[in-house]
Amino acid sequence: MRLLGCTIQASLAATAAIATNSDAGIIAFTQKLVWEAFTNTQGAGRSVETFDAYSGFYPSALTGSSGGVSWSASASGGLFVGVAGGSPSLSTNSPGALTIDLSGSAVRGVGANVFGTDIDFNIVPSVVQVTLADGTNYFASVSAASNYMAFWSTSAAITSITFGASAPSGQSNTVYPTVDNLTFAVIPGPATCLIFVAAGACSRRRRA
Amino acid sequence: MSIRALAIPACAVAGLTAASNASISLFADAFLYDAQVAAFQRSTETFNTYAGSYSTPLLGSAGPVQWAASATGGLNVNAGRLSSTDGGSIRIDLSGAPVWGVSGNFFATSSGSVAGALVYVAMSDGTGFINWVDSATAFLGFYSSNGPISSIEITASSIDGSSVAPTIANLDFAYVPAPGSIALLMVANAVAPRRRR
Repeated sequence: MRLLGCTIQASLAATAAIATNSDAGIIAFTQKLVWEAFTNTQGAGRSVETFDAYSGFYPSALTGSSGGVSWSASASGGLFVGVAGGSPSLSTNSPGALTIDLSGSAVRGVGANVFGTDIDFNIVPSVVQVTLADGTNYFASVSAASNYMAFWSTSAAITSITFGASAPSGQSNTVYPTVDNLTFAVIPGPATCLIFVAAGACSRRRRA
Repeated sequence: MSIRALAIPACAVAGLTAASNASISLFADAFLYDAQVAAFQRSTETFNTYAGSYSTPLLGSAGPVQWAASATGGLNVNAGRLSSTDGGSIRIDLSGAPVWGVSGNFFATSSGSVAGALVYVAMSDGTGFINWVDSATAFLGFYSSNGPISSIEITASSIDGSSVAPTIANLDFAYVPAPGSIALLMVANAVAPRRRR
């Protein structure tokens, strides 16, 4: 799998050059491997919030951090972290949208497993909608916790992402938007690069 | 067993409908895209009236929508599939009736056969999808609520260095009829009740 990822990354370089040569666009991905390879071509580092450190009900807003990214999750009626698909996942306590605001390091890419659950955190077929701060939407029919969605902003940082879920057409069951393995892609800033440069210089001197 | 609150499903649906205020919506599901553009007129370019090689741009129309396909090195149409001849990007410029939604099957071919490839399909501002595609039924749809779509572009690249060509089939447009057509419809509607009196 790692070899395939490297091969895709090499192939993505040309595509990425075209894709990022735009003023302000959002590129959507539905395959984790492709998105991760793409973020590599952009020199971005990734950090993951697995929600493993959370459990049960939380009033809104629930805050946390992953890498240099601070996140703040909010939903009308509060939030709930329960086990879905064998893994702790962030969801809402009441049906409705789940919004995650981002601060700290500028986030250029966001990816996650996104799906719908019922009141007991069973994964149920649903129509999932993801909305970014610039208004870009992505809609998908989802029925598994393995469903992956990811985005890359070609210019500005992604400052918020909102997840919604509803029952498929013709059904009326209650669905809660649910997120797991929320991943942030950040391009290291100049200060971070300077640290790397300094570290590199120091290591060379030690070897000299 | 969680203690989550149970509420009427309408709450969730209300959250989804807020999407209609957004600028661009992306779909990888034809059913959901069809629901989004249900209020629009639709026309489809199947490319079935084309065959062989064409210099760029290749021009055509589907209903009141005019399209111009261009690619460095020219274009090729085979069995309802529009491809670039040399593997370069294909750009489709749109004119005529304002197009608010574009969808189709976007994939890659090699020597006329479907080939697995990374496919990037985007609107003029760069908003789009990048996916690994290995099927001619791979669907993508774009809907803009803040202005007509003027162009889309498709790029494909293989992961083993082999030559692949971006390919489009069943290019569908969701459009608003031109003012003249709307006026004609209004006149027709106005006349119709009088006949029933």
